[in-house]
Parts: sequence; C-alpha cells; structure tokens
Amino acid sequence: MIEVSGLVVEFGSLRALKGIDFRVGERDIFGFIGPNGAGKTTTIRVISTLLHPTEGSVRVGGRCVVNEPEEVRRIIGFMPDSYGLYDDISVFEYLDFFAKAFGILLPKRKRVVDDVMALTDLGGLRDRQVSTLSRGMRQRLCMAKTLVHDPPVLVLDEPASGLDPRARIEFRELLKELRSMGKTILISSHILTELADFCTSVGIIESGSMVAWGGIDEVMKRLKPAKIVRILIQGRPAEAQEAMKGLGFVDRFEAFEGHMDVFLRPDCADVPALVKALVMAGVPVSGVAERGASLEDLFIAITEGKVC
Amino acid sequence: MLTERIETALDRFINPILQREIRGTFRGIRFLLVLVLFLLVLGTAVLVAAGAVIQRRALVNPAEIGGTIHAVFFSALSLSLLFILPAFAATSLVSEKEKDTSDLLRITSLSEGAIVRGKFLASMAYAIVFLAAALPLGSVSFLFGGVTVSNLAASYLTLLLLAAAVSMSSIFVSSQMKRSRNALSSSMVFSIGFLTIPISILSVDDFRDLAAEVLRILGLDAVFGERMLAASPGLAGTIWWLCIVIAPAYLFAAIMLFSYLSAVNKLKPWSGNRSTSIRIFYAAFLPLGAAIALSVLAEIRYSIAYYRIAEYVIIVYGAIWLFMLLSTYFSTEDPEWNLAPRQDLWNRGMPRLLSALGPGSMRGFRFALSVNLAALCLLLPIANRCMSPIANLPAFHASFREGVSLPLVFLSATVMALVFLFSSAGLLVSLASRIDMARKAALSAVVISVLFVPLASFGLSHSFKEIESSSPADLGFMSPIVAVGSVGSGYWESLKADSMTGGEPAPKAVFPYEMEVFGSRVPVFGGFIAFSAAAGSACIAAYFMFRRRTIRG
Ligand SMILES: Nc1ncnc2c1ncn2[C@@H]1O[C@H](COP(=O)(O)OP(=O)(O)OP(=O)(O)O)[C@@H](O)[C@H]1O
Ligand SMILES: [Mg+2]
Repeated sequence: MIEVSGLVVEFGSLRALKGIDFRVGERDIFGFIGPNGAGKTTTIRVISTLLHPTEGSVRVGGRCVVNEPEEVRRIIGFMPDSYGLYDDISVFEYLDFFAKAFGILLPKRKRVVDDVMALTDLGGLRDRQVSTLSRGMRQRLCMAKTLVHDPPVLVLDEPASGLDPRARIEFRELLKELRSMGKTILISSHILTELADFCTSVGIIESGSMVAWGGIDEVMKRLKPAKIVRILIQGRPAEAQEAMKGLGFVDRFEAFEGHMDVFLRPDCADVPALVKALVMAGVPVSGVAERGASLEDLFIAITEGKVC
Repeated sequence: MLTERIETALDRFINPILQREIRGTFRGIRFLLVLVLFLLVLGTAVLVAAGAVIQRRALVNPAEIGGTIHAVFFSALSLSLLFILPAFAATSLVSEKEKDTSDLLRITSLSEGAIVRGKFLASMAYAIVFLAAALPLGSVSFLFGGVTVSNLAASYLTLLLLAAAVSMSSIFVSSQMKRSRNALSSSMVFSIGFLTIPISILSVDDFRDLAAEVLRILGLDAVFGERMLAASPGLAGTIWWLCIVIAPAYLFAAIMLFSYLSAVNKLKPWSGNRSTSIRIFYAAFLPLGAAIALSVLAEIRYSIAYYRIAEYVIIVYGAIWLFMLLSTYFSTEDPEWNLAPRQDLWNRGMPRLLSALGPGSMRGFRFALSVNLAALCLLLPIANRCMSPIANLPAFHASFREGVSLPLVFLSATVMALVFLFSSAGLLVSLASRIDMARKAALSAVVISVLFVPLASFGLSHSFKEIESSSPADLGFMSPIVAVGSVGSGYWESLKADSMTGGEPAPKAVFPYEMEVFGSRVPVFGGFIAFSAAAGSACIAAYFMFRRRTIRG
C-alpha cells in the first residue's frame, strides 16, 4: 500500500532523509521507529502529501504523492503528532466539519460521524466543547477525525505519546479492530515496546537512514543484541578479566564490585565454556545468571546513541 | 423535520470553512460583547462628533443636520471596519497554523481555493453582521432628511466593497505569515493604505470634480463638500463611467484577484511559487502603457480631457502597483529574506553604487528598484500635469521653445524625489530584513510618517492657500503623492507665470520661491534638498544603529 523508494528530503543544507526505502503491505501494521529527530515526521509528511520530496518516489495505493496528491489524500488518514483541534466548537461539530471537508453530504454525514464516535468511544462527549477535553479524549477525537472519510490507509505520527497505560491498551485494541476492518496502518513511535506486540512489520530509522526494515520477527532476529551473562565472583577480578580475554565469543564485559556483566556474541555464546575458563583460572564463581536483553538495550544498540 | 430537510438541501452549497467559523466565532459571548461595544462606541462617536459639527456651524436646516449625521456615521463606520476586520481576518489562516490544523485542512478534499473562499466568506459574514447592526443607527439621519435612500445604499455598497478588499488582503497577509501578531500588524498597515490611497487620489487638486461627484453620490456633501460642490459641476459622460465605475472596479478587482490567487498559491504544499501573482503583477503594466500612450496623444492634440484620463489611469495603476509591491514585501515572513551579507553583492558583480544605496541582497534590491519604479509611476501625473495645457497653452509651449531650462528643473525635481524614495525604501528593506516582522511593520510606519508628514504638510500648506477649503484634502497630508505633486507643480506654475511675463517675477506668485527656515529665507529647492539629505542621513544612521544591535542580539 505504501512504497517509499530512495526518498531524500533536504531542508536547505540539512539532509533530513538520506534516501530511505521501505514498503508497507496491505493490512500490515507497520511500526516506524526511531529516536527524536531521526526523520519519522518528515517521512510521514511526505507520505501524507504535505511535504515535497527532494528526490525519490513515494506511492500510496499505487498513486504518486507528488503527481496525484488529491487521490492520495482520499485514501489516506493522517494523524499528526500535535492533534490539531479547534477549541471553540463541540466534538460533534469538529467531526462534522472534517466529514464535510471530505465531501460527505448531509443525510449520510450524520451517520458517519455517529459511527466514528462510537468506534472511538466518544459517544458520551458528543456535545462537549473541544477546549474542555483531556489529553486522552483529544487523542481519541483526532483519531476519530482521521477515520471520518473511511480511508484504507492510516498514517499515525506518535499517536500514543502522553497517554496513560490504560489509554494505551485501549488504543492498541482500537488499532487491532481497525486492522480487522482491513486497514493498513503506519504508526511511528520512539518507544519500541509500544509497538512490538502488535506490529506485523517494523522499520527502524536513524539520522535519516533506514537501519532495518521487514517483518517484526526477522528484524528482531537480525538485530539480536549480545547475550548478557551476569557472573557473581568473590574476588580475584584481575584473573577473571585475564581469563576472558582468551575467549573468542566474549564481546566485552563490564566489571562491578562483586559481579561482572559479560556480553557474549549471540551466534556462538557458550556459557559453560565461560564458566569453565573462569574456574580453571582460579576465580571463585558463586553464581551465574542470564540477563535478558531489554528492548531498551536493543534500541540503544541499534541507534548507537548517535542522535538525540 | 422541515428544518432538517432544508439543512440537507442547503448543505451542498455552504462552504464548510464558513460553517465552522460561524459555529465557532458567532456563538461565543465574546462576539456579542464586541458587537455591543462597537455599537456603543459608534453611537457615542456619531452623537458627539455630529453634535459638535452641528453646533459649530450653527446648523438649523434639518437637511443639513441629517447630512451631517450621515457623513459622520459613514466616516466612523468605515474607520471602525478598517480596524475590526483585519483583527478578524488577519488571524484566519495564521491561527490554523498556530493550532496545527492547517495541515489537516490541506489534506482534506477541500481545494485551496475553497479554503480561502471560506475564510473570506466568514470575514464578510462578520462584516455584514456589524454593518447590519449599525444600520438602525445610520437611519437616524432620515429623521431630519437631507439624505436619500440611494445615498445610504451607495454608502453601504462602498462599505461592503471596502470590507471585501480589507478581508481579502488580510487573508492574503494571513496566508503568508506564521504568527498572528505579525499578520495583525501587517494587515493594519494595509488598512491604513485603503484609507489613505483613495483620500490621496481625491485630494489631488485636479480631481476636485471627481471628489465632488463621489461626495455627492455617498451623500457626504453636507459636511465635506460645500465649497467644492459649489465650484464643481461634477462629472459626466464617459469620464463619469471611467472614474466612478470602471477604474475603481478595476482597482478593486486587481486587489481581490491578486490577494486571492497569492493566498491560494501559498497554501499549496508545492508548486506554491508566486507565478500567477507575478503574471497579474506584470499585466498591470499593459494599461499603464496605454495610459502613457494616451498622454502622448493628448500632447499631440492638446486635449485636456485626454490628459485627465491618462493621469487618472496612471494614478490608479500606481496605487495597484504599490499595493502589490508592499504586500509581497510586508507579508513575506520568509527566512530567505534575511538578506545575504553585502559582501555577496560585491562578489556577484552588482554595481557598487547600487548596493551601497541600501538593500543587502538581490531580492531586496529588486524590491527597492520596483518601489522606485512605482514612485516614478506616481510621479508621471505630475510630469503630465506640468506639461499639460491647463492654464496657458501658447505661453507654456513658447517657454519650451525659448529654451528656458524648465525641463532641467523638472528633471532634477523628479530625480531628487526618486533618489529620496529609493534610498529610504532601500534602507527600509535593509533595516527590516534584520529584525522581526512586528518591529518591521512598526518601524516602517514610523519611518514613513517621519519622512513624509513634514514633506507633505510643507507641500500642502502652500497648495491650499489657493483653494482655501475644508475638503477631504485636509486628510491628505499623509500622502506623499500630494506632497511631491504640489511641490513640483507649484514650482512649475510659478515658473510658467514667469515665462508668461517675460522673465519679470509673476504679479501674483502661485508658489513662493523661498521659505522661512529659522528666520532666514531659504530657496524652496534648497529646503527640499536639505530635507532629503537630512532624512537620508537619519535613515543611514538608523540603519547602522539597528544593524549593530540586531547582530549583537
Ligand atoms: N521544516 C523544517 N525545517 C528544517 N529542518 C527540519 C524541518 N522539519 C524537520 N527538520 C529537521 O529534520 C530532522 C528530522 O526531523 P523529524 O521531525 O522528521 O524527526 P522525528 O523523527 O519525527 O523526531 P521526533 O521523534 O522528535 O518527532 C531533524 O533534524 C529536524 O531538525
Ligand atoms: Mg516527529
């Protein structure tokens, strides 16, 4: 549904996107992940026909965003990271306005607006003025607005930032429901955990370049970080370090008071061999525990902390 | 059920933006308060001002009293529109950007044109509510008489056209800006233009007939036009159509079209260059060429009517041109306008003299040059008038043949006026490009008034010794056109008078050769030069002061 190839965007002398490629298949939920300033919003704005690409091509549903922006706008629902609400009208009027702006005329429009309000659980807020809504309600309202013209493709820029855990879960449920309705969804975030359990594919962007993209399992496997083993020792750290230097599968280690974290290469990690080598060197090993790599580690490992 | 049916039937025809604005703006208590306040202020103003005029002139004739009330009402209403409307319309598109809704709007099925039209209609709806609310107050004059219904209708039509022009240009400004505050201050600058440009044109002596006709149509003659009407038969025939209908309609259409197309262009995410507006801009040259041709024709046929038409057309074009220039300039909040260092210009092979005159970039330079071309355009009528056989054709042409260095004198006056405008405009550009927009607008206004008010009042004080009337020309002291015009033509007339009497001083000097400065008599031209030089140096000093400060800040 979305095809991005060789996309370059320059702001004056700043090269915000340096030729990125990815594809989002039909009915996929594509997680678009990257640290602050990586170029997520820029990419999304190009896809949504709001920004002109310097180079490269972007197609949505087979339509080119540069040459056929009207067609693209009809099939895309864009939710910006700032919600973009009018404070001086009611929830119903807000949705009614956007429905009308998408050319939906009256007898039908009332039904459409009621439907999206039901879907996003806004029914009870129908006549509330927008200025009185909480952040979570605003997010739902903006989401409802995105759905008003029933677009097959949804492009959501950090939709879940600033929501409490409960609202996040509800939002996740909504996304799953939308997917079951046959929609293709691109959702950006800088928090991997937020996306990991329901995305079907992910793309990871950093400093304007795509680091990895593909099916979620594939990417997770490819980016599998070092296996970390925590070894508790009762002294003789110097000998321990000396012993580990000879082992090819040890990537690096961090020594602490009373224990050390050893990073092993994921492909050939051999914990028994490590323990054996330490014991042979006379290090008093009192315990071995495997420490799972958190998604945070993964994120840091991928992005190398280059961007902030 | 019925209302629902009507709603459904009308839905297709109502612009969604208009509908949203009406829902958002017109419902709140704030709007009601503004309306009430507006009516209170308008009512008080009319009561006090009309009362004062009536008392001072000791009017007893009911028709005169009615006319006075109407005139004061009309002036107060148009003045308040010029402030209320920009405040509403200037924020229209900017506030969408500030609320981050403009992106959402742009990706709906609404065309850019529909967005701009919706905003325009909302602003007109706003204006119409105010105009309608004021109508009962306006009809007070009918109690006394002296004003006809057609006077009132013409006044309201004028106000509607004014509202349309102010709304559209404010929306245009709004489309170019990123901050409400800046949009607001720039729109106000335009509004003041809408006030001063027509008044300036009407206060040029040669358009006394036109001014009288306008006052008569609007029913304002009771207050402003007594003497003028007595002296003027008004306009008739082709000239009436040209001056009352065609030229104003053209001016109006040009401003509307330019503002509309530029705003629409700006909203497009790309292909948003100014090509359309630039084309309109250049199209304004064509009738200007025709007008110049007409004045050449007039020269050949010695026809005063042709001169008048040519002059008028040229002034209207000058006004349009100036509007477009100033609007593109004032309303471009584009970082690219932060001018390139002057050094760049040297390197790009710009003539040193030109870049030394002020602007720090090619774009700024082009702007300054255009302003000066516009100034030339506005000065053409003066040249025209000086050469026209207004007073004494044979003597005038004789003086030409006899080789009096009149052309030289006039040429130097023009060149001086040009250099003066050039340097101040250029310096303005340089100044403005380094500071933020709000200060830019404020500073420009200050500089313009500081430069032109003394010059203009100096010119007027002389040209109105002759007429001795309380015409709207009194307000024209804002207008540089009038100022330069009266200096140029006054000096010219006096020289003409000289040549008619064979070199002897004219028996009755139309314009003094000398004026008193600090007790000593100084030649007028010397004063003009000195003033230009002083103003120029002040600009340069201000420029360096500001440049240093903004670089440090
Ligand atoms: N209009 C602009 N003008 C100039 N530079 C811009 C503009 N928009 C974005 N950039 C730059 O492009 C880069 C990518 O920005 P972008 O907003 O796409 O990042 P992001 O991944 O969305 O970050 P975040 O997680 O903070 O939202 C940044 O370095 C930013 O400074
Ligand atoms: Mg972003």
